Amino acid sequence: MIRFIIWRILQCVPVGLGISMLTFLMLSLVPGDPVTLMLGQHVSPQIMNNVRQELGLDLPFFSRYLQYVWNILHGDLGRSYIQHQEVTTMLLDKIPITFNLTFVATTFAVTAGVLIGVLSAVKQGSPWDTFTTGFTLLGISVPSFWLGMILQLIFGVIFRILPVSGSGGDGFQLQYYILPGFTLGFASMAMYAGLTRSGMLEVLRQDYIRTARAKGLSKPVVVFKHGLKNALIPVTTHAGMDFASLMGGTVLTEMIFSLPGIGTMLINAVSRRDYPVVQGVTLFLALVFVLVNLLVDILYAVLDPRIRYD
Amino acid sequence: MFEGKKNLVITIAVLVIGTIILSGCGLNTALKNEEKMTRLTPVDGGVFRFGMISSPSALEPAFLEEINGIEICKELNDGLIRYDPNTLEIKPAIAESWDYSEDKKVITFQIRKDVKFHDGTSLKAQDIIDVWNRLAAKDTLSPLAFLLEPIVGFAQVNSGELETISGLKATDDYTLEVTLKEKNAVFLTSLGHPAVSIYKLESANKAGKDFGTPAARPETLIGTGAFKFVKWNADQDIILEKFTDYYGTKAHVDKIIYKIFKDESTAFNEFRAGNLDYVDMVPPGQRQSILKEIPDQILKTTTLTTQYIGFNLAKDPFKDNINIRKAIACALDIQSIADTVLEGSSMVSNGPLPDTMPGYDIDHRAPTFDQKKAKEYLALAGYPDGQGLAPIQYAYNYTQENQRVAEAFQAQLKEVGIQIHLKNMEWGSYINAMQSGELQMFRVACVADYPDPDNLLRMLYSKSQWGMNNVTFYSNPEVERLLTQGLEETDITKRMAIYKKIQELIVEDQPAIWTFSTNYLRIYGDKVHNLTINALDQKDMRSVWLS
Repeated sequence: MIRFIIWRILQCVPVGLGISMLTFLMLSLVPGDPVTLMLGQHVSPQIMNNVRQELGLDLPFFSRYLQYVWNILHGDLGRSYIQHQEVTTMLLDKIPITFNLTFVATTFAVTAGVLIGVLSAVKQGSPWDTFTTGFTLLGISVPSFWLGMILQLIFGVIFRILPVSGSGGDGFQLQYYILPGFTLGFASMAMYAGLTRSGMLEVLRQDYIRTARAKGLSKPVVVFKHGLKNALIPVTTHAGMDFASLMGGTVLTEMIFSLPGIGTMLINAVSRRDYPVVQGVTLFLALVFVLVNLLVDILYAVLDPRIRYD
Repeated sequence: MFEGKKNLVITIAVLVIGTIILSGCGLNTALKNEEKMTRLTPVDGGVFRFGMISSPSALEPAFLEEINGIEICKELNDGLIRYDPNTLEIKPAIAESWDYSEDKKVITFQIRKDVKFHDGTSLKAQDIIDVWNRLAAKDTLSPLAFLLEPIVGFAQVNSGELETISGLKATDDYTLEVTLKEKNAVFLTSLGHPAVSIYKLESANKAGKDFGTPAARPETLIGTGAFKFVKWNADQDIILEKFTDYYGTKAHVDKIIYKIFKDESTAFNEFRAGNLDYVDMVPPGQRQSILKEIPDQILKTTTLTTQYIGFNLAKDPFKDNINIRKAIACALDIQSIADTVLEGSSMVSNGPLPDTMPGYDIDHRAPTFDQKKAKEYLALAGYPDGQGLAPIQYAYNYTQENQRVAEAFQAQLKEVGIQIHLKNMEWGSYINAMQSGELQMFRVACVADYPDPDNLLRMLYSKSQWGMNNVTFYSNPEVERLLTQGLEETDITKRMAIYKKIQELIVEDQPAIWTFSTNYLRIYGDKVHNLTINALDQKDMRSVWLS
């Protein structure tokens, strides 16, 4: 197992290099000059050239790329062309916000999704089951910007019981993350409900469940202790990857709720060709995916003793 | 099963009806501000919560390229002069008076003796020189350094040859002498731009590369304005507080919180929830409904913006063919597009300057919608009924609004036999393609830096700006001569006559079809008083008070 973990960590190096190379290449191929976007049209060609030189944009692609990799190895992700701030500082400021949002969204999605899924499986064929199946479809189909706006209007504007937007400043303030968390996690919740329902239906037909029932165990014990425990394996592993996907997919939710996370940072940077920021955020998100993937693999082995990586 | 469905339907119905009723109530309780203005006198105190769409990129004066940065920086730092909030006339600020030498090449500014920086130290003439030297320096890489270009010795500092501009001299602590290369009637007006406003140089040096970034702290962003810097939470908010030692009319509100949004609808929802006193933009598509809902809480402003359809005069079919340009001008019904497609959010502008710009020429207007004339011009251009005319490409940066306007242009031109292909482009590629002369016909929008006709006319129609701001590649020697003459003429009446003549010549040459000037709607709360917005889209936050 340890060998496997070390091997997987070592695999992150070429993945990281590949991602950095791809991002760098793609940004270089996109038409449009970052210096024009940065300085506007007023500026004389002389100043344009000076800025291009200062930013190293006059160098050939490979020299720039090597310089970039060298800087990353020294912990330097560069400085934003637009906000003139260190990318590392910007990322460190914004990661907690995106992390909080993703955490609330995943917690909500898993808890509500699993509960709905279990009830739906236990009451298979009932009106509740029909309703949850429809609800699952709705959850996957509703666009997050629409849902976000409606939630803002109902809970923020009309009843004024939750903040409309913002993160509440320093520290984690749960009330600011409830509406965005629900918006972001709604589709995932529907997916977990579906996943749990099908898992539970399969588990509930197993012999050991029949045995448990025959032994006279109460229904909750059979369902939650013997049934859910086994049905949860795919849900748990899926939650890991979903957490990573949600972290990279917060752009719209962050925009609607004015949360200054990495999604907002990325969209600002892409629209203004802020290369160092785009590269920094992409690299960070890619590393999150790689690490979560690794954790999921380890978790698999822990949850299901039949799986061995040696 | 039936019971479950019934409950669900009832719940949804209650929620929807409740939403409609309550959202209607929220906005109709506002008192009319005009009534309140007449019966209330200004009171001090309170926090003004300003809803700002998109974050400023920097609060460093040398990099103030967008309106949000300018909006905040003008509160932090004062310049030698300021613009009147209503008329845009030049008013004294840090400089209490100024005199021109006989040859009009030297301006002597008398600096007020009571101006203090936010750290309590007094401002002296040398502080102004230091800040301007920094703006002009090669290493600063400022896109706005050109504002100091008329001063003797600027070029040497900007090229890195020297460190101080030789044309700037502090004859004593409170007298600043500025020597210009040539007579220049615009220079004084341009000093109202926040890029040349005055802050404490030591604070910039202390901040280093973090100057004016979200990493700024009160001790590294020290200005001279009516408000001082408190905090910048990146992409969240920027907080300023009243500077009690300010030399001029002190602000009424204690604090301004600029709350930053990415989405107009979210900002408007915050306003509806009572969490904002002002919103900078109305959500797209809600303009008409907001005008009906809260007519007493709306400020309409027409900005110093010009929008036009540019013709690439170096490319066929527009090169040396004025008739095809006039044919297109006559084929377009700009007024109907402004009324319908743009829902009244823009005013028709059929001349090179917006009507809010001093020197705007009302007498010489470009040809307007007349399909008969359009066909005549088309025949004169050598394309009777559009025969033999290859489809023309019309490019624009992609927004829903630009797309709809372009489609309307396409439909109207088709009626006279002119085919156009639409090409929507991403902003960066669009700018590059325009500047490099690749495009045939394209949308251009430009905002003035300061209220002087020279600014827009020189940027957009002078040969010196080819491939930069002059993307039509227009050139007329007479226009060039008059631009120089206008720059040197200090008599205001004579100057305006010169700019009138320039506009007349440009209109005759028709390098573009002038379409719209933007008409913004700003929303303010019922407790806000005395909020004014000038044509540069700047608010005078010193005069605002809250009841």
